[in-house]
Amino acid sequence: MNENEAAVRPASRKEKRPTARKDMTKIGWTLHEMRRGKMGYFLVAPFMILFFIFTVLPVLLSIFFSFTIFNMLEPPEWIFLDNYISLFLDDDIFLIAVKNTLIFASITGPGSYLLSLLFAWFINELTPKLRSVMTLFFYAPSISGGAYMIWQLMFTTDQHGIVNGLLMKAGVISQPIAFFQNPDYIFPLIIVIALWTSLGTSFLVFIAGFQTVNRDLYEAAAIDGIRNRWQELWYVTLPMMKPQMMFGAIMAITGSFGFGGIITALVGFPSPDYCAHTIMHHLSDYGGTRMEMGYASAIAVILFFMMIGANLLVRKLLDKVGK
Amino acid sequence: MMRILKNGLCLTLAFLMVFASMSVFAEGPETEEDAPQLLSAAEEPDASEGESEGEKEAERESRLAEIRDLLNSITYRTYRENYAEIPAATDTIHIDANSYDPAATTATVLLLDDVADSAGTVESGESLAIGEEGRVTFPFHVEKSARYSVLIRYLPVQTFTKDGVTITGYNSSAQRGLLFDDQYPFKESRYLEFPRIWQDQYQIDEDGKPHFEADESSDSDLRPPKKETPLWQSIYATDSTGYYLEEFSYYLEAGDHTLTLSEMQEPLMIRWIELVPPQTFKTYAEALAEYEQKGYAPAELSKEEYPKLDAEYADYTSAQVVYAVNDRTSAITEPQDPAHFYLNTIGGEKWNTVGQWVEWTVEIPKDGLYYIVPRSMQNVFDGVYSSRALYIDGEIPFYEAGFMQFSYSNEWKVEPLKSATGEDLKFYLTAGTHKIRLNVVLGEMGEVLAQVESVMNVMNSYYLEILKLTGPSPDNYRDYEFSKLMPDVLRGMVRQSERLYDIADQLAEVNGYSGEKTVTLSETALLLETMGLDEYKIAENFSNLNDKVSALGNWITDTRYQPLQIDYILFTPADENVVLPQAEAGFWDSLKFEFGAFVLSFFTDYNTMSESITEDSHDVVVVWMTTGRDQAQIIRSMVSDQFTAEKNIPINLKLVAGGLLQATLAGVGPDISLNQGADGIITYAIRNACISVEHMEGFEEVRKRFTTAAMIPLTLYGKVYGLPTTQGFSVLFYREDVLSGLGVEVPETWDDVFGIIPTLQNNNMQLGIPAVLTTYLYQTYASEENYRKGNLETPYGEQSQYENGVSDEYGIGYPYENGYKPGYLVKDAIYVMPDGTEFNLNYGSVVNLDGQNALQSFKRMCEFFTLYSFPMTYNFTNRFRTGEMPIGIQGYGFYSTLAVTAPELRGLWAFTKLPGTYNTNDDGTVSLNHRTHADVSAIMMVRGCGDDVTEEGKRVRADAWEFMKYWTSAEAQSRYGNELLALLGASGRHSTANLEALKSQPWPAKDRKNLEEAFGWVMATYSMPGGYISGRYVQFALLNVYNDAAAPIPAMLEYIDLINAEQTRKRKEFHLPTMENYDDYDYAAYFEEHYQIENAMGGHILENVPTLEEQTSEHLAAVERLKAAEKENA
Repeated sequence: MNENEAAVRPASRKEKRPTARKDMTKIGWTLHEMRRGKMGYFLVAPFMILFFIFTVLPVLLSIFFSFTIFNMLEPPEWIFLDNYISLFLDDDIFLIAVKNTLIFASITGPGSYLLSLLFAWFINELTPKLRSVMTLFFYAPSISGGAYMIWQLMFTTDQHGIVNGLLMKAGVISQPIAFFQNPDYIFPLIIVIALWTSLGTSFLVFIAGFQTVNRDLYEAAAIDGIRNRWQELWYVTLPMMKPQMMFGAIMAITGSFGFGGIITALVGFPSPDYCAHTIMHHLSDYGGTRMEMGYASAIAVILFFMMIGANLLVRKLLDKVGK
Repeated sequence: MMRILKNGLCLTLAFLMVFASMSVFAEGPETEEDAPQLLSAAEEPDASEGESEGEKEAERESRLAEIRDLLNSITYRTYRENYAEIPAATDTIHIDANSYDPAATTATVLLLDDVADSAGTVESGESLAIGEEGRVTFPFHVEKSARYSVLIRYLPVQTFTKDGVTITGYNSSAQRGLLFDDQYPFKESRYLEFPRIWQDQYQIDEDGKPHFEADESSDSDLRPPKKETPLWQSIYATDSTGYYLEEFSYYLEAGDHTLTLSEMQEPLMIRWIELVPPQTFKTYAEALAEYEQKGYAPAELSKEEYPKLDAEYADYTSAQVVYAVNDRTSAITEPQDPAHFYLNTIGGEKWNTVGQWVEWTVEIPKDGLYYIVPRSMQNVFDGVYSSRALYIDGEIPFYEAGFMQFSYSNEWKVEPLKSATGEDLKFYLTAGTHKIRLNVVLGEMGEVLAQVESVMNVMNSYYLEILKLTGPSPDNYRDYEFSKLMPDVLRGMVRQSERLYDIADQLAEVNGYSGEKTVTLSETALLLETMGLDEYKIAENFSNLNDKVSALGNWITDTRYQPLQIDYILFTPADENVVLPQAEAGFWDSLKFEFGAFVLSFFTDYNTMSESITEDSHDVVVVWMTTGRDQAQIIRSMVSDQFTAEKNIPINLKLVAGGLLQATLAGVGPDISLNQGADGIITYAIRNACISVEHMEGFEEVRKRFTTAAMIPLTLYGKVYGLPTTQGFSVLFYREDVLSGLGVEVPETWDDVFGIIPTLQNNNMQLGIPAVLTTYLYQTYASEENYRKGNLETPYGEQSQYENGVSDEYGIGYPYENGYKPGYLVKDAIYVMPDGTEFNLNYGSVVNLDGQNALQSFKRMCEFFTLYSFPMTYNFTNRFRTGEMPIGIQGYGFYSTLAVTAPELRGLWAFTKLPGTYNTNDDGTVSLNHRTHADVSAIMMVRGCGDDVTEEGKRVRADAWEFMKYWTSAEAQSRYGNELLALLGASGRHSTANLEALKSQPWPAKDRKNLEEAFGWVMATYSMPGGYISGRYVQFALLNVYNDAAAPIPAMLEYIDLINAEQTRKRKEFHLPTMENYDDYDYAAYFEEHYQIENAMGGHILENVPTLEEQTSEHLAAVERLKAAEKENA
């Protein structure tokens, strides 16, 4: 026995001798480590099983169905890449949807992200009691579920509605504007509403993140030559908050790509001339109304890859924070 | 929860609730000057344009006269004031039923001898049965001028037969109007109600204890069915809205008079009518004095001997909607169980309308003074109390018992019945059996409500008056010169404001506090005052006026409801020292109960409605339904009573909330889906997920139960995939009073519609046209008639040829100027089904919305919104009530909504068939057609239902088919409809598709006629694969026109191509011929696969299809003929 082994020889005879990585194959080693940590696996198992069944498996199935024709009541028929071909080459509405989604995503994604960050930063300055009150205040629209229906009430086409009524009274218009039915108005309105409801979980996470930054670092930074709050934010606070920012970014991206439910509730389905038609709408159009699950799955797969791409992009950007 | 729903409903609906009434409720001196002359008495309707048939003219005249009368009649309040000085009568005038005057009687009447009621009481002598339509007049003589009350002895029976003449009713309460000398003395005399009497059919076991039948699967109580048990009743002519606590007293001068009962609703049987002195009651103080004097003392009973009756076992009720309900809010409601739903209380929210009473029988052991102590809860309306009147053995013991109050609390209360001043009331009861009846009354609130309603009506009329001048959004900075143009309106506003302030003060006194209930009144009063005193404030507050009127309407609706829930009624000796039982459970008991209920909720099956035992020869048929739980219970009891008992086929009913698609895919779906929309059915059909029924046994017979139109959305290429259960369609609703005030007639044709637009718009009113595909379709179909073969009329009930009744959106081979696509009538494409019907497999491959007529119709529809600026989005209920939108197109279900939420508009509105279009027929004649589009839902047999191949499978299908036949039969549908009415009240009307069942539903006579007429014009469109796309693009086209001022026809044409492209895509998916491949498509193979040529199916491909040349020349000939005919008629 060499010294190493002597040093670590266990007192009890029953305990196994620790082995080294070089003694076995990669697979063997993996299995060995797994066996060693099997308690951990047991603890994670319930979540992992459910996560697999309800999140991972559907994604895999979706990829499978994207190569078939599946009308949801009869068994699927394999057609290989036909769905993708018609999606890219033959589908005008898809292009509109992509355009809409990218516009929404690029405005509301970073928009809501920065808004959350900004508000979290401001609120961070307040006393704890006031901070909790203000947090509730800003977080309320997103937990209140259907609060965005207020917008529908305000902007209804009925001439006795709030905005139409006011405008008509002021003499600006003589006939009620169909706000949620007019392509010119739908877009800006939806963006505003999206930003209004977007101060969600990421907001809370940012607030928490701001709290966890170690106070000592600010002192150290001051000594090192940081001159103002802005530099403090950029060089100290944000780099320490990278995990929270990553989380916030992912939430923002998923949210903005998947932003569809509110649009349907306010504008109806589909929106006039497909002006607010996002990829999600396109997906549910094909999946729900036209009952073409295969095509819808193809759209979903495309969306999935778009989101992965966006995530990678964001990750690269976030790496630059603090540099 | 119900309260929130109700409030929400009232809020939206009650916007401008009674606006409509305007000067209807104008009272005598006070508002005569105020009421704007929307209906000037001298208004003569213009001679109609051309169609002056004497009859029609006369009918309209009388209708207008009626409206005029209604609008100018006074209320009972005024009448009463006018004649308050006249002494009350002292004698009784008896009018026997057989003394009617046949000359003046237009109703169908029968004289029947010695009629007995359901309890066996016989009224000897002749009773008069009066039919639903027409009036009956009785002459009589008065000795001395005096005030009389009218007492009528009636029996609410449904059917009377004698000598071959039958009078049948339905099951709503009878209504009549009461006239003296051919005149209604006051407005309220038009609506006298004669309720029917119902009995819950719960079971009584050997020792006389009643109990409810339990459901086998869940052991919860099942609501017992209600049986009508007519009893002879004497009722006073009294206000059906309950505003006036006492019965009506009519002033009659000495001399000869006639008394007439005018038609309203339902037949009625009368034994006699008596004119009696108005009722007087002793006060409670007097009663107490009497008790003293007679030496009555509190009964001597021990605690165990207190008589107690379980309120849920009522003897009789006067309304179907008052029935035993389950209460789980308290652990000590009797009986109560954490796991099961027992029916342990009666009433609740549904026992809320004036005139609904409940009667019990109680056994009193000893003479004496008693307190009557109910365990009750009124937890629906905060800040208001509910009132009840108590009848002991049919009589109100003293005045205060006529309006006892139950105030709001969200807990149960055990308290003796109190007077309005809060005093516990003592009642003297002799030993023996007594009948106790509690009737809903408005009590002291009645007067207040009447006042507020009249204020609201006047405000409404002011609103309309101002609206005519300024339009809906008056300019704040303009001087409209109100003080010059309508000074009476301004004065009137101040006066009404004073009235409201008075009422608010009155209320504060009555309630004991001024709280939320008076705020509405004070705010409104303030607004009126502001507007009345300063005319420059009117414009800016105009929409506030609007809001306030609806707030008042809302207030009235709320305050008029008097809900109350009762668990049991205890009779204790009238002694202050008596200890009353606990009202609510203690903390631990409640906790135990709630926790037990929570735990058991994991084990109780709430879905299965009935688990039937499997017979050897029949497998269970599984039925899924997506209705509410109450409806599901109705269906369950119907099925076990009528179906399983007869046919011995076990049915497993499941109440689900959706998931049919997923279940069918997974193979665990049901055999039958009970209520499926028509679009959904075709979606399933084309994907082979449901089973067609046209080849099932007895189909031909079954088909006759419905209109042709109802079957069409369920048919795809000859195969029928379900049986229709409901059928809704649009009709034209209109405000008779507003229209006649404007001098405008109800439009018969679409041209008429355009003709009345200027008048409407001059008065700042609007027309309600829905901005959807169906509106456009009415116009299209109406015009397509000239090209249709066969009959044009589809009289109600008569089944015309299968072809007819079709209004097609996808006309192939129908010739018209552009859009005709010859060649679709290809050889081999037409298949003939065994019963002779033909279909073309190319049908549906292109849409014919690009036809000339279709495009013109679309253009016209767009013009409504662009040229004439009619609103696209509007709340029809509100605007109809105000009178702002006196005419509009809605589904006929709106009738029930309006009847329930706007009873003040009674008599002022009606509905009729849609405006029509003149069509030139082939033979040159011209006819008017009023097509309306149907909306169908159906019962369908799902894919998993047995299979056609094995013996067993065939049997299951046959059994499921039996169920489908049963469910759509007249018997089942009418029972279901009636039970729904009983369950939900007047708003629960079931728009059944079964013609016979529809005929048997209770409708007022006049409306029934209108409905039947409209029904004859119902049409439908086929649902095609890809059909969802046309509605979508038509909407886009319409929005383009509205938003961007695009030209309608080019806009539409743009989308036509897109529609066709989608259709083609979809049809390719299902291997159907498309417009691209129709000429080299293999029809034979398709028919072989799906229709099995040359086998038991019996169908075949049609030979002898005209060639392309023949088709073209035929088409051109038809076009020529048409042009000629049009030239002639131009």
